[in-house]
Amino acid sequence: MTALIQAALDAVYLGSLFALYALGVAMIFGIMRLINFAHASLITVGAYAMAVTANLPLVLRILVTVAVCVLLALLLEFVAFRGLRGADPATLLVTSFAVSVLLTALCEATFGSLPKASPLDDWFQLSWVFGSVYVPTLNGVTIIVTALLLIGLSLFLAKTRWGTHMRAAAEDFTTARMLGVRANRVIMLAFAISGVLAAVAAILLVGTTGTVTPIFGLAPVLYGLIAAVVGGLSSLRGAVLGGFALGITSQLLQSFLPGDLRPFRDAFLFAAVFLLLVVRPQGLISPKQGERI
Amino acid sequence: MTETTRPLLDVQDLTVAYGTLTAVRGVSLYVQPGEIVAVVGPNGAGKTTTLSAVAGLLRPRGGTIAFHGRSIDGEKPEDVVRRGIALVREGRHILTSLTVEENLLLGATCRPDREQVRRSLDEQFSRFPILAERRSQHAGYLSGGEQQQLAIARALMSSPQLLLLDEPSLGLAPRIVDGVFETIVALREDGLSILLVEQNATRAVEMSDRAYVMGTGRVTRSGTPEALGEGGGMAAEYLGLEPEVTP
Repeated sequence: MTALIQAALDAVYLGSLFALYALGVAMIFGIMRLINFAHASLITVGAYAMAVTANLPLVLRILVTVAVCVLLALLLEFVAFRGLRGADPATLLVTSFAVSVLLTALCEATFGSLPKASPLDDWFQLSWVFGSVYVPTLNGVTIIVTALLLIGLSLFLAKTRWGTHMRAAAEDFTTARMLGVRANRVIMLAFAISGVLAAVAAILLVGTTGTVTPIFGLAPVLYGLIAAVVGGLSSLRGAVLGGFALGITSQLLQSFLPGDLRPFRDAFLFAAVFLLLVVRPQGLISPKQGERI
Repeated sequence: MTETTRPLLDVQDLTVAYGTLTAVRGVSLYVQPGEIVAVVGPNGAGKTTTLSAVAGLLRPRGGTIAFHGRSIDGEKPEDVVRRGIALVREGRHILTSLTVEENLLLGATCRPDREQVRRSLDEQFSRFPILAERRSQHAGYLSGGEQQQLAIARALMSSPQLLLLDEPSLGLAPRIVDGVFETIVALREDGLSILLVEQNATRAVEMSDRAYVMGTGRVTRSGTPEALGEGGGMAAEYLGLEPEVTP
């Protein structure tokens, strides 16, 4: 029983992280039909922001990191993607690759290719102990922060004026504009939110790795993209669901695969993804059936 | 006939192209305050393209579009609606994941005064009682006729001076079509100017003050219903159309 609870908590932790990654990708895709690979760079730069500010108090580090990621996201929108509105999705994807490669090179030129220390406070290395169940503080914090972000974002989208604008733009961008929704504002808002999500992902992730390299954000965004596709790329709910599905499956395989098969965990995981997409190419949630957001 | 008043909408020599395909070549038309002006013609005549250019969805390649004497060509759709022009597109384009009320409030995005928006909302609910009944339902559950009412009500929420209607009767049952046309007449009586594109040429021309007949990107004839022929029925005959199936 204890082992089961332990495994479940670990699974929810990984699911939370994947959901954060997936949401950052889906946020932009929903509005712009852009698969924003440069989200990886946002996470990397966020982690470097944590490294550069390592001597400051945690609250300040978090604020700086969030600010850096949001500003960079807005800058990317303005410089790289604004001129490409309505362009072919392939063009957008290639542009986001180019942006990502450029920023990776910039990080390498600035900070070198060796890992740079980006530690979180010691407090995060402690564990919360409930009987015989151990929850590392970082895992607990990740689960709680993700839950709060998801609740906050849903409330924002459901209850506020701007949230309604975003939902409208995600469903039918042209109609939303004709009704007076300003295209620039909605897209900038989506990028800003993806910046916040990248910053939070970076902060939580440096908690486990402790170091940053120029390709820090790459794997998270790959997993996020896969999770978003599993969930249904144009639905935010789908992205969150996909994130949790992928994270939980991965962790359960890790916990319950026989020892000699464990190194092949990801092979099993992606075989499952492959099978799912053969059966349900549109992902778990498709916009036709439900809402887009 | 009305040289004395400046037209509300004045389109001169409009040319619109999709890549190398020129859909509208040199179209001129105008709408006076309080008029219903119909634009009729077969599929592919450039009617929808003309409306889209006026609403800012397409950038004209040539010509001018003036509203209240000020040039609006090349403006973005979100700015055109702020000038007082609302377009109800063909196919209604209801946001199905939003509720009826959210759709309506979205139509008032450009209006800052919440109290006035509330009042507009109440006006729409009394004009279209079915929308009041369904206000908190997802708009995807409405029938075609109800969606058309919602699309018109949503456009009215921006408090426009000029309403552009693209094929409002398309795909609706005859009884519902009657309702839509009655609404259009009632809106004009409230002082709204209307530019109406219709394939249901006979009825559109009959209810209009003036009409333009378009074919292959040009205005081929224009004038009052009387001038165009026996109650505009001639326009339909001349075009050899009548209820045509469109995708």
